[in-house]
Amino acid sequence: MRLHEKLYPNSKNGNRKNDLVVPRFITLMQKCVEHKIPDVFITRAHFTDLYVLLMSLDIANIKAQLKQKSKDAQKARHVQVRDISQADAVKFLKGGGNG
Amino acid sequence: MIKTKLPVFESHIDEKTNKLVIDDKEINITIDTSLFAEERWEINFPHNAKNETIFAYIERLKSDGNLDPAHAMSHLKALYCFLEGDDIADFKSFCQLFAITDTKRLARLVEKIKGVFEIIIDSATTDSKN
Repeated sequence: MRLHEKLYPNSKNGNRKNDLVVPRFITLMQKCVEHKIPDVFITRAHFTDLYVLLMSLDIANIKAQLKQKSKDAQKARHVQVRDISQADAVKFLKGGGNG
Repeated sequence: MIKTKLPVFESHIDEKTNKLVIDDKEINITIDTSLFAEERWEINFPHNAKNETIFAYIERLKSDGNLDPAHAMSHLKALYCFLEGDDIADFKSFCQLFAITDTKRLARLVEKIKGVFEIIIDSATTDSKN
C-alpha cells in the first residue's frame, strides 16, 4: 500500500490511511474458520506450519475455481473436455478414436 | 509447547551486613510457537508487528547477526511473545526478572535466548522460505 502511495501520490485510492487495517492475527483466524481448521491444531501447530497450510488450501481453492471457470467458458463455447486415461489417449492418437 | 528454564535474578539487602545480595535462580517457562505468539506480538508491539511477523523478526535478528548483548531488549521483546509462565505478568515485570546491567549475567541470558530462538525457528516442519 505504501509503495502504491509512493508510485501514485495523486491516485484516487492513494490516501488509504484511514482504511481499517485488520491485524494479521485476525486475518489468519478468519482463514482458519473459513477452512474449518480444528481448534486443537490452531493451538498446537507451529505458526509457520499453520501459515503454510492456510496458503496451500487457498492455492488449492483458487486452482479449483480457475478450473471451474475454464470449464464454464468451454461449455459456453460448446466445447466438451473430458479427462481420459493414458490408454485412451494413445488409442486416439493412433487414429482409433476414443470410443 | 516446549518446556524450559530461564536464568533470572533476585536482589535484596542483607540486614546483617547491609550489603546488596544477588541470588541467581531459574524460572520454569513454556514456549508457545503457535498463532497465539503472533497475537501477543501484535497486541504488545503493534509498531513492530506492522512491518513483520514475530517469526520474520527473530529470523532477521539471527541473519543480521544481532544476537548479541547490545540487542538484548530486542531479544526480550521477541522472547516475551513466545513465553507462557506463572512468573510473567506483563512485559515490564518480565524485563525486571533479568539482570540487564550485569554483563556476565546478560551474556548468559543472551546465550540462552539464542538457543531458544534456534529451537523456535527449527521446530516448524516447513521452512518459511519455501
